[in-house]
Amino acid sequence: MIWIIAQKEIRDNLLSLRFLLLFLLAVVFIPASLYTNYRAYQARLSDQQQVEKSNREYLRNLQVTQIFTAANFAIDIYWPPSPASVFAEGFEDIHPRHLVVGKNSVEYGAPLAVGSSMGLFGSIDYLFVVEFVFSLFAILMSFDAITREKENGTLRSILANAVSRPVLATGKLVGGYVTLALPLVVSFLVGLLTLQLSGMSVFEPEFLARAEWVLVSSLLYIAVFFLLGLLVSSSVSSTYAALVLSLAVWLTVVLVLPRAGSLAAQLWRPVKSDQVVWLEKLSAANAIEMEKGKAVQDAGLFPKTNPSAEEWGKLQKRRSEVAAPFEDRAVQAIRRIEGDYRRRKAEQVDLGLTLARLSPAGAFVNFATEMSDTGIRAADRFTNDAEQYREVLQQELFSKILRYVIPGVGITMGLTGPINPATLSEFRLARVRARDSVAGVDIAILLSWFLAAAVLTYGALARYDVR
Amino acid sequence: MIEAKNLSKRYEDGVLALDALNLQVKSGEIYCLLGANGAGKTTTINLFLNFIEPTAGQALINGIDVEKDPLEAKRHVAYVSENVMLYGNFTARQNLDFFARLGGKRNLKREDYYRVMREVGLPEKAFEQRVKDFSKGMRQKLGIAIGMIKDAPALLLDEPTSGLDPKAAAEFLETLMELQKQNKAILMSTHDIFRAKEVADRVGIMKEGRKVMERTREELQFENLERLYLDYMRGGIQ
Repeated sequence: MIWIIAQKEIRDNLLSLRFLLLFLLAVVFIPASLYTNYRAYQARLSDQQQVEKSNREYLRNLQVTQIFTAANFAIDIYWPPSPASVFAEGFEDIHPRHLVVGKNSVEYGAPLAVGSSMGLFGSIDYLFVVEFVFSLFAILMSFDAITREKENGTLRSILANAVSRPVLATGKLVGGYVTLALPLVVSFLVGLLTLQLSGMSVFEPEFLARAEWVLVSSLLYIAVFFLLGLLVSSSVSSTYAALVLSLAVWLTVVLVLPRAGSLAAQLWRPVKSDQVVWLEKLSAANAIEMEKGKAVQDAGLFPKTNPSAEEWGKLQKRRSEVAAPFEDRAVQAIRRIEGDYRRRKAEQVDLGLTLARLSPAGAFVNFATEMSDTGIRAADRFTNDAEQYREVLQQELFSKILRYVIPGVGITMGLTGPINPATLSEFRLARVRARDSVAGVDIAILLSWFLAAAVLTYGALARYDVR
Repeated sequence: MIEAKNLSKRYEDGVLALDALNLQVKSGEIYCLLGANGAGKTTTINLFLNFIEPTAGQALINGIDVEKDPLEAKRHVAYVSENVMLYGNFTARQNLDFFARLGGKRNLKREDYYRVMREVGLPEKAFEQRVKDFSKGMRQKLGIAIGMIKDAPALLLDEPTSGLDPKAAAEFLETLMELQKQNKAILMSTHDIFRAKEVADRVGIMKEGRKVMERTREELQFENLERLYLDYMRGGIQ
């Protein structure tokens, strides 16, 4: 009986204008967005490889003999693009992809490319098409599934037979969902074929695994919206009311709830601005450096006449001994401020993300961007790896630079020994495998929405007045 | 057989739409329920189809309590509404096929559908025509075809001749009498006193949720049904 109703739904939907419109939008936008994102990926990869090459040549040829060169030494690092970013740009265009690792901090670098109108209006990628277009069509495919039958009188004709209401709801769900999923699956496969023909190896196991998960999560996501539409249709008696309510539900679930999560997090967990934190670090470092300079001066380690080379070596050794505790304090103070800021920021982001992920759109976006390796965890990995890289450079380079602020004299610097930039470690971003990117919580959240909507739909339809 | 035993329905707003209705429609019998709008005719049909639940009493189809076992009861009844509304984008045969399969007829052939559509008087050219282009008369005929193809022993008709032109209404009644010959129990609610008198074996008049009068075909030979109806509606007879 379910399949009889499902077949009717499929046939009815295939003949509808909205299906035709959805199909056209899907087969145009999904392959096109995958292709343009692949081109963007290639461009980013080329940029990043070019920059890495320039960095290596720069380091190979650099002679750090001058204190000034050492003190200002900084290394540019770039977020290597992921092939799976063809599905979702995610943080690739939002998060700074260019960082400058310096002595005291990791700073944002200049963007690699000049921004376009895409930055203002947002770009269309696969994630956008599913998150907004498909979810809207999903709800528009089902919002009148019951009310239209009631208004047409066919609901009475159906229920005059030995058809239970749960069977009717299931038949409508199966049939409607098949016609909704069809354009998505077809256009997804066409998109993958387009990528293959464009030179990308879509059958590479890691990429294929990510593609499969992206498709599975998309199918689950649109199922939630189809059921929400069916729930609305089972809860009101007129198609007009169902349309208004469906649009309100869509706006709330897709546009409001995910953003409300960030807003709530900002209110509950306020965090200082980057600029304030930078000033705090600068102030703390300067205060300690002043103390250090005074200690070195009080120890008589700044001779008024030029010392001989032998005396200079001894002087530097003694200066290092006096300065070491202050250097440690400065590093600790900066780490404490940064650590505190990072912890609070992470708490805020975690809270915002957790709240946003309670909505289907938030869960889907998080899942799809993580599978595309452009999500918040991927961005965090890049930043954390950059910080760890700074620790490495601290050992290999920055710890060998001594800098003194002498009250009443000014700044003076020194090197504890020779530095060979060619031997410095290179930055490497730790990649995670597809299966480690699967955010099971997001799938569980989407399943929970699906089940909740299903239970409510069956409940509403059981009480539905068919008269 | 279609049977109501002290069947009552009071809506949530307190309105008593049906008050202890008792009626019995035997196999091969046509029973017409007459009454003004709001008399309780459609409420009666709704109760037999389990679209609403009774406040008291029982609605039985072939001896099966509709409230207790609605799906089993509905296997034995076909329904034709006042405005047969079907799926406009489907052809007549596709509509018939869908409802036939819902009614439990899974293995019918194209020719089976054509035969039933011929029996109800649908023109051949309409068989594979989309229903959205059908006149009301053609839709009603297709509705009857849907009721017939289910081959249920009981038939519920809710104002089936409403809005039909005289020719279509006459054809409809001919079909109804054919169904009667097939031993179906037919309960028809209608405003059409003339048609009721023509086809009904028994006629019941309903007023404000109560059956206020019942006459057999034989009794009506000596009475003027139209006069009776008007008298009851005016409240002259209690």
